[in-house]
Amino acid sequence: MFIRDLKRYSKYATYSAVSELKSQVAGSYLGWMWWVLDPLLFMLVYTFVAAYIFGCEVDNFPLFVFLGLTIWNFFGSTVEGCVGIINSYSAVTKKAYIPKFILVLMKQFENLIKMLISVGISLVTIVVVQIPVTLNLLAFIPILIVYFVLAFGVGTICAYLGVFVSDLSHVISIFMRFLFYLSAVFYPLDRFGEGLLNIYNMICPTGFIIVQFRNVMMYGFGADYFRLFYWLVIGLILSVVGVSLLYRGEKDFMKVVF
Amino acid sequence: MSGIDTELAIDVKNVTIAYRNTTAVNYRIFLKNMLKPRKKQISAGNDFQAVKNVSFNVRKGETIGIVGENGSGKSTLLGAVAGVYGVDKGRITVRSDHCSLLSLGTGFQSRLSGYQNIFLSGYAMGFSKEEILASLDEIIEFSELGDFIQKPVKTYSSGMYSKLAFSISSVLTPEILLVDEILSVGDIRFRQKSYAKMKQMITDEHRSVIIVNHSTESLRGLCSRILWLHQGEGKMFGETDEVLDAYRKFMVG
Repeated sequence: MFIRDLKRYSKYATYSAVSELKSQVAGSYLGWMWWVLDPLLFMLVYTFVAAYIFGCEVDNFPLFVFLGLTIWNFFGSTVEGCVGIINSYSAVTKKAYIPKFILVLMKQFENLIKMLISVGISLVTIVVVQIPVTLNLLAFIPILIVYFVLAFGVGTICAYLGVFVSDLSHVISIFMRFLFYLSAVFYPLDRFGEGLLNIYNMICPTGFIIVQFRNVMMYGFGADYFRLFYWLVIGLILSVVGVSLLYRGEKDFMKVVF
Repeated sequence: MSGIDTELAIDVKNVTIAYRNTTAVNYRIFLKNMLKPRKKQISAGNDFQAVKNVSFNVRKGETIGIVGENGSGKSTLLGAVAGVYGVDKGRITVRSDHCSLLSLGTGFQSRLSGYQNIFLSGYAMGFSKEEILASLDEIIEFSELGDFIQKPVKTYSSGMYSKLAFSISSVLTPEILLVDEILSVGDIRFRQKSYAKMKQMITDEHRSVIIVNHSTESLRGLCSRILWLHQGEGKMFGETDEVLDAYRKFMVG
């Protein structure tokens, strides 16, 4: 059922994501420049705060922060966007039947495109500032795949809960802020000892992915495939739970949604 | 028996559709319920049943109408056939890949252009890119929107909005068409045009149609059978003239 719906409606998800991005571009003066400017400007803010106020000392610190933000934004925007998504697309879903996980995928595609643009900029920067490029860099692909699955799992569950619990959006935005500060976006995890770091990598998905991503992009390390697999399994479990919740809720969504 | 069944495009059997009282899923009620003894719970027992135990069917190529007062469950029933609302009891069988609700002024992403919305609606109805491209020119031409097709839908007047909606659904024709109060779209000229198109689509012998309408006269020319809903229950289902006469008598008194 999932595979069949995926085949049938994936066109809808991709087209909708692309046209959503196009309409965002059309609505502002600087257009698509904002997808580049947005992480760049935030990078300046966090670099200023972390480097000058808290005195973080990391080589290529702006790039360090930029990579963190690039990775974080995908997860943050996807999850926050998914909370009210069934409500906000009711104009479409009240007219024709669309499996609701397709809406989550759509949101993900939208943010994926933005993230890939940022990744592209980072790659250029890496060459420009002459960070040695190794084959390990290619490990960013499996890392992002695991990340995508994780975001899908969390997104589907949030989409389901968001229909019934209208207060969820408040709770989620606070929780996501907490997760953001926890995720090592603008600070290194040096002060964590070995043991604490092991626990951290097992409980904070975004932090783990961000650190992994930096390791392969900036430092030429290989990926931690064992833990990556661990998070893939968790992501798949969350996805199965989320998708089956969405299918089960199908009967009642449109009666609750306005 | 099975020989007759294969001739059916839509088969609705003993369908009941209930709206949960939305407070039942409110967490405050939920928490209160956890504290209260079972008897006093504010339960899902005060569900509102919009459609109660209704059965009807549509043969291949047939057009049927649904009539009834406001709030008698017509639109809910139509939504259930489209797969938008879930069914609580009973079963709905639809033998078609493309089945969608043609209703006035819904289904568009207002920030996107009319052009993009044609594709979105097409994909949402399960058509392929090639099928949409093949019908694209005809849709734009029929909608009479001209250059407005590239403007965001939120800038459209309500007439333009429904012209586009009508054009998409009437050119990208699903085998099963579900029409919710559409027979009067746009200005007088477009109304005549859409009525003619409508009639052409409905009389197409490959297409099965369900129309929901208040105007009994427009149904008389189009439908072969009528379902009369009264307070969610199927009061009558049969030949057009017979049902419409009874309905009129009932309504006028």
